Amino acid sequence: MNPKPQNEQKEIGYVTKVRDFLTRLDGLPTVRINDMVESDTGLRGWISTLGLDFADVLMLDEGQITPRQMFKRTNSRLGVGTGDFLLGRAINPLGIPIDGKGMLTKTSRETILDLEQGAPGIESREYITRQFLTGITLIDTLIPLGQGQRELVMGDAHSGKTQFLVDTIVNQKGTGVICIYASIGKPAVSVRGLINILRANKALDYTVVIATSSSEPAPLIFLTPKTAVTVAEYFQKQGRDVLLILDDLGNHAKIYREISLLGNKSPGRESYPGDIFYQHAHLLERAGNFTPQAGGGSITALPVIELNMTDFTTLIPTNLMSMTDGHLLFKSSLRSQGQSPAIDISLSVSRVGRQTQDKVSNLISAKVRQVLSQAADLETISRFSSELSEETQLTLKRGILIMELLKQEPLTAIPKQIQVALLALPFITFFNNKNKTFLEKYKKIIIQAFLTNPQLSQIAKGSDKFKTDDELIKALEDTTPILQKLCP
Amino acid sequence: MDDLLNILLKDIYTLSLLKHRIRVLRSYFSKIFYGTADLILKENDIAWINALPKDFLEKFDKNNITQKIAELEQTISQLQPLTVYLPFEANDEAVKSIGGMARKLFNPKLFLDIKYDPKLLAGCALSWKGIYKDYSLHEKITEKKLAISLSFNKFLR
Repeated sequence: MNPKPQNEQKEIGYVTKVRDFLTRLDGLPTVRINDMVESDTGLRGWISTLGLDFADVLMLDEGQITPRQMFKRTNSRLGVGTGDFLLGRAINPLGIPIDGKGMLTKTSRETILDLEQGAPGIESREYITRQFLTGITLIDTLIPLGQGQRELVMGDAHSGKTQFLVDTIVNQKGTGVICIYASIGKPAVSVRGLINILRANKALDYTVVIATSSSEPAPLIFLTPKTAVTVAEYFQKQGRDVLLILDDLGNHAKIYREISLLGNKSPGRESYPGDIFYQHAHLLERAGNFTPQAGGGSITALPVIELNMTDFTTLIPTNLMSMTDGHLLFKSSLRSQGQSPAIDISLSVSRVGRQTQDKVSNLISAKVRQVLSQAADLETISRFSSELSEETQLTLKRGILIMELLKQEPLTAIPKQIQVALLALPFITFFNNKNKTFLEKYKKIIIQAFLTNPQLSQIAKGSDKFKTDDELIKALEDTTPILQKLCP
Repeated sequence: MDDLLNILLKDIYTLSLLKHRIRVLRSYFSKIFYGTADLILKENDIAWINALPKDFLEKFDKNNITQKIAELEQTISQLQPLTVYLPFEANDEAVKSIGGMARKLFNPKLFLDIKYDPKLLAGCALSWKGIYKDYSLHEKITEKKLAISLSFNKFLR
């Protein structure tokens, strides 16, 4: 006898309360956090809170919800379809393409991953030994980043943060690094602009953009970094090195504050909920350098936070500073002085990157930092003194030359070996009587010579073979005739 | 409280009617005890009150009316209704018939929350404690969509 097929049962709940994008339901007896539900009119939401006799749903779609309206539990969890087909595309946090290029060309290899996942444990992680090269001299030499590091990018509005991020993505061309850019609640036009720049520089091929605009529902904006990390994890598990940019977590914190206050969570400092630290730490802990058993790739995370008047002592920046492995401080005042990238070297730090640098780079970096620090101190004194000792003058001059060498045009990359040799130049005798104007005139020629001149390029390429920084400087001293010829 | 509720539930099968009758009761007693009422009672409401047992009405007095009505409302808010989705607007007779059968089959205190859903086409769907079961024609058609379209193919030329 054939058993009578059982009528399929569905779990449903009825709306008991609606507060903006937060809906309270009764029913749904076995629902779990992050389960997706759908109203009878097709509006989607996810379970964010469970009580004894209620479930709170954060709505992902905008529409009218009325009391006693029915919601059905769908068979899906809060997740995103991942695969190589995402490369070159811009999607929203639910995996819906937003770049106007049509549907995603999904294959059978699509993997749907839950957005909410625990960070891999210590057994899955490896010591960071490889440097993450940005192509920007200032960062790669003085504040080096490691592959799998989390470095906070903070700064005022219009201080050049986004330009730095775009440069970093563009400079990953040919390195095999996959870039994931999460644009969290920014104006739609800025997302469009970013996509256009990346496309124009052929950087979109290895980039996935996950974006929500400021006009979208708060719960959808809230999911943006989670989707970005999930997509990053997909590529990391394929053994790929991933650069993950979360731009910016200040917006994310504000959105989470809005959601929490609406959900009657107790407000804490600056009205942020108590678990705002957890929310961000939970995200950033998913980055790192992983063992082959855990996929073998790495996720280098660059969370971004916009500061108000360079004040990084407020709650969210200090939280983020404590959960990352260093920070880059961008200042609009430096940018207006013509420094590009406008990074405050003395206030920026990388706690991991130095271990990935070779010995000579490390020594040159330390030497440069020392000169810059001395020059900054002496600059104040020099304003009050008419006569300065030769040594003081040399330090001041070297400081100026170094700062000039560290300036870099947007969308340019300087190879790592040249960066070290370039920063060693102010320490050779040839540059003792040269000034800023000289460097402004000949910087490009010198960089070009390091790429083309056999003697100079040999030194640059073999810079990591030198045992000390003095050996490198001595080798560069021997190239003085070439430099004299190049820069008459 | 259960006694009062049992009497109320005797001829009432739906949540909306139950809530209406509570308001009628409140208005009736307000009129009697205080001379004011927030609801103008209709003929059928008065007929229902007149049909209530005398001992039921005697349980209410000037001092306990507010408390007793509040308790009744509290008890009702905790009752779990069986939600019935029907593809037609059910009249009183249909409600009585469905309600009577449901009470006979499941629970004598059961009451219904009847909702109109024309998408069902025929049959009904039930929802109890967050579980939804669809016994409608629409569901059957969806289930057998492939078989139905294949059988139609036979007639296509």
